Amino acid sequence: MTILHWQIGTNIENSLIEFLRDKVTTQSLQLLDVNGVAKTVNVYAGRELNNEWNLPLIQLYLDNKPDAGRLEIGSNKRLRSFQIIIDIRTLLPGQETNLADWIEAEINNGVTIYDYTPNSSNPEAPVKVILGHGRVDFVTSLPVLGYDDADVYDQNRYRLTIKVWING
Amino acid sequence: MITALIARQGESIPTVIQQEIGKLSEEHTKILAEAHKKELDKAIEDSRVRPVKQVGNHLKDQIAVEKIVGGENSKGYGVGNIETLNQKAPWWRWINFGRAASGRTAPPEDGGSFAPGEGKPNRASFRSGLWQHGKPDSNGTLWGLLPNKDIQPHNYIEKALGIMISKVRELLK
Repeated sequence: MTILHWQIGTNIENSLIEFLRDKVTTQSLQLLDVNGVAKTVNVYAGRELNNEWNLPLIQLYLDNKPDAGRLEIGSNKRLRSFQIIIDIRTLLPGQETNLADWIEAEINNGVTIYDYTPNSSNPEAPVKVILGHGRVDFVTSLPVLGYDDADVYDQNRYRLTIKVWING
Repeated sequence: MITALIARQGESIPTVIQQEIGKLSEEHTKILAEAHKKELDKAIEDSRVRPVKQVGNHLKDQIAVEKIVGGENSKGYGVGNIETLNQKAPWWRWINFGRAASGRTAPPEDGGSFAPGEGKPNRASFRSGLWQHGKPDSNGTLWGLLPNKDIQPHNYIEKALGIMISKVRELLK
């Protein structure tokens, strides 16, 4: 019996999350709430919004894999792209755009992609080895229009779509 | 070497070339817009979760290629008019972003029945039929439905755009 562990899609998702969390931690990145209290930016994985998540937040997930062209004729090696959706939700208007600018600047040079394997002694810290460097292309970058009666998670929202390219 | 000369009586060569390139560019833009519409349709169809289609306005049917005209000249082609979508298929936003305009993520409670198949809302066969708002089932029973699962974002706009960017790059190679 073989238990299937994380494959490339999940590895890319988690590498991006780890990358952004590291940047948030090293820069102590915070945003103010309506009372002027600084709130740490959270990074979460998942397609569906979880009401237990805390704002401000960056939500990201793999959406689809649009490209799988051959690297060269006669080879089965592929140049693949992984389309990732990054939803940004903040507490105050304008912050979502600023946070989007920050993310774009941070991931502009690409992200190191790791191959993760489970670590039974410490499940929170899976073993990782470098798989390669993911190049980033920006597909869309725009605020999601809000409405008067939208709830707090949807009032200040920005969506980035990126393609992460890696060969293999 | 074979050289083709484009000439039109009474017009300078640069003017003729500009006109021809303009026509070609417009034609290319139109082809790309039509291809984009097909990719949007495909992305919507691929992410459908129910085998039976609802009767009425479909999102796919409301997404059309439109010529954008500003002043005397055409400004190109657009795909999916937001005003039309907001009127005729306002769920476009919910399906793409996973959030309704109101901020709602799960559909509201309702009375009706499922058809075809078992009319009673049943988790096991939930995706085999369509919800018929206000309609009793074949036994005349009106069932209550309290959805508690969020509608997932289908991201059909981003899916189509991701593919179109690759197509445009291929075209320009």
